[in-house]
Amino acid sequence: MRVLTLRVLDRGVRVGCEEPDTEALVTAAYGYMQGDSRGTDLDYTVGRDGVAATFFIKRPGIEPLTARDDGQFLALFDQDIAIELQKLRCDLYFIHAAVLQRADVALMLIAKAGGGKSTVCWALMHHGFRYLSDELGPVDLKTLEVLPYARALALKKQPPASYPLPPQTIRTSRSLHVPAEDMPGGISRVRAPLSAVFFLRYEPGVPGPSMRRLSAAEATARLYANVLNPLAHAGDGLDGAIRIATASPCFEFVTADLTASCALLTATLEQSL
Amino acid sequence: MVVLDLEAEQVHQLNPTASFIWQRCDGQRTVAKIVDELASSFDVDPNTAREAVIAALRRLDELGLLDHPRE
Repeated sequence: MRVLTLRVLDRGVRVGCEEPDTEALVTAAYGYMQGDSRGTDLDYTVGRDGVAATFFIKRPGIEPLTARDDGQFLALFDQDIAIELQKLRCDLYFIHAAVLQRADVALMLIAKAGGGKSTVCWALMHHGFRYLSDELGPVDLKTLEVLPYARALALKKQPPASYPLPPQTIRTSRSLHVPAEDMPGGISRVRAPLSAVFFLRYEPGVPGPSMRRLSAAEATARLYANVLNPLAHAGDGLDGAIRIATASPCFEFVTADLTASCALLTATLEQSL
Repeated sequence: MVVLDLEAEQVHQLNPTASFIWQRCDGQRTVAKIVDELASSFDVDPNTAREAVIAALRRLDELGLLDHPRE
């Protein structure tokens, strides 16, 4: 059995892979987080049932999870590790967001499922932005810094031809995964102060992208709706949303053409810094 | 429940009782109906429920979170 040792949000995650398919999937998704084994906080065993060809995920204290294919396997693994990390790091304020870095500051992209967050994230990396995360935006509320969570970027569909995916992209039954090592703008391994939050909405029919500055109240409500562990924080998590919304400029960002959208976000960010 | 008042640019965090009452301010239910539902759901006597509903409605109205029926 091959063992991957990850260091994620300063916690040790051990993943024992009983066969090559699951090892390849976990390595592609989480390989950039490999680190030293300073104790194990999460202990996984993954593999495939030789007879049924289903995938399984085992962890002490839970019933084994099973998946019928590679896409479902990664989705279940992602979900379980994300939930367990929220318990292990309940001091952090987890927002469902993509996070990028530019000029030593972080920005968040927030959108509902299918709203284009990962696609815009992928495109921005071709315009000088560094990658911190695609799914989780863990915020230290004391310092308002965002911690990196460099899992592979997961896209639901092929991006426009102007932003092609690298050959190392993993294609599963559900999505496309770009390993962190293949991010065009590079990866940031250190926490960065949050400088702006963009709430995305994709409108393919509009002539061009647009940006609207949000009031602190509206930004608070929108942020709060995307917090994953609000009850672990003061005021049932609303205090954290208020703190972020009042400290960082927040925008409603209607995206259209991808290149024009990236240019607008870049200009907006530079004006607000 | 968190309520966003876009006009006043304020966010309000309602406690469970206020959330329950606000969700039932749908232009269809009477105050008496909301009182009945609160008493039943929260297992409180009707007088306590009535006091809670009236106090909550008064406060929600002060905050501008209720629409008034058109004449």
